[in-house]
Amino acid sequence: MNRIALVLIPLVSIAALGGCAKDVVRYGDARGVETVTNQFGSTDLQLIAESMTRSLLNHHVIVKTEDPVMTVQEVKNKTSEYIDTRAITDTIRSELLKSGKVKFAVDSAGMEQQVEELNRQQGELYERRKAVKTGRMVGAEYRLEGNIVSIVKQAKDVKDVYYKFNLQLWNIENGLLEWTDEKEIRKTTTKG
Amino acid sequence: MTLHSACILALTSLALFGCASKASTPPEKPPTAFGCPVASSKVGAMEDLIAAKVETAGPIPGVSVNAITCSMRNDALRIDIELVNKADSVHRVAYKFRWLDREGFGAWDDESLKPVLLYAHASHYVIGLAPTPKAVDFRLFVLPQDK
Repeated sequence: MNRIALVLIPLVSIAALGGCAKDVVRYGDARGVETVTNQFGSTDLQLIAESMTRSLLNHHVIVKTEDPVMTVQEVKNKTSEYIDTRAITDTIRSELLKSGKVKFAVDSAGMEQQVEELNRQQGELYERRKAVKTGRMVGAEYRLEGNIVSIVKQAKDVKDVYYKFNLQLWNIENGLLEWTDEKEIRKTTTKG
Repeated sequence: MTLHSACILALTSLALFGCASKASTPPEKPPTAFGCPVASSKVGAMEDLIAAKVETAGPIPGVSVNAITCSMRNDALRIDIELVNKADSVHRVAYKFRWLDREGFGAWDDESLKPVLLYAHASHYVIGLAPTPKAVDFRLFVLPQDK
């Protein structure tokens, strides 16, 4: 009897504990403050994109020029961690487009697909009258590029991460830097 | 005599027409307080403006919005907010703006919450720039982030 009890009690306990540790899934606020770790996260991406977009939309290049055509070039990741900088520039681009004040020309990353589609429509399979014509692509007047750097400091119980995102708007024709802005973010993790 | 009468009549009509057109031309300006659009001209004091524009999700002891001023920058609304921490300790809050159009509907997508560190007995200034000229009004949401 005692032997059976000795076997059963731990089994029941394990089963109960297993039940308690069941994962719970909930939807959260996609725009809320995320502080799961101090690595680059969704809040950082949103803060950077929003700050850069608002600053650029209030600059005279956007305000005074009618439908300026831009292109997005690389944002260099100079941090020690993996950051998809394309996700940042995609968000900035979509916010700028949504404002209706800017147009975007195809960037170098999308050029291959653009040319491929353009050439495909020149083939015999397509009705000549409705096929798009070559030689009508619009070149960008301005290019956006930037970089993100980080400084990480770690002590026994503290880890501090500082990010600095810099974005620049260059006039392609004359090579002038028309606009630049920065966004700084500091995150500190303390143990205990 | 008839020429004289006709002249007087013409001049009177012109003067009257001028007065009438002047009175009807200027469009009614929406009421503002500290440069910010308000629903009623009764919002005169800063406390009234803060009560009309700020919403907080739960109490934040010692932390409050002290001042709001609005101005126009390149056809876009700019909001300057002064947050004050009167407590003896550091507090963390997050804020976001909700941009509204002329009819009071949302003029832009939901903004991300922006975390702010408020030092003890210090002010912190935040700036909100409207993403579109359609955004003519706003609400500020402040959430406690200490936990």
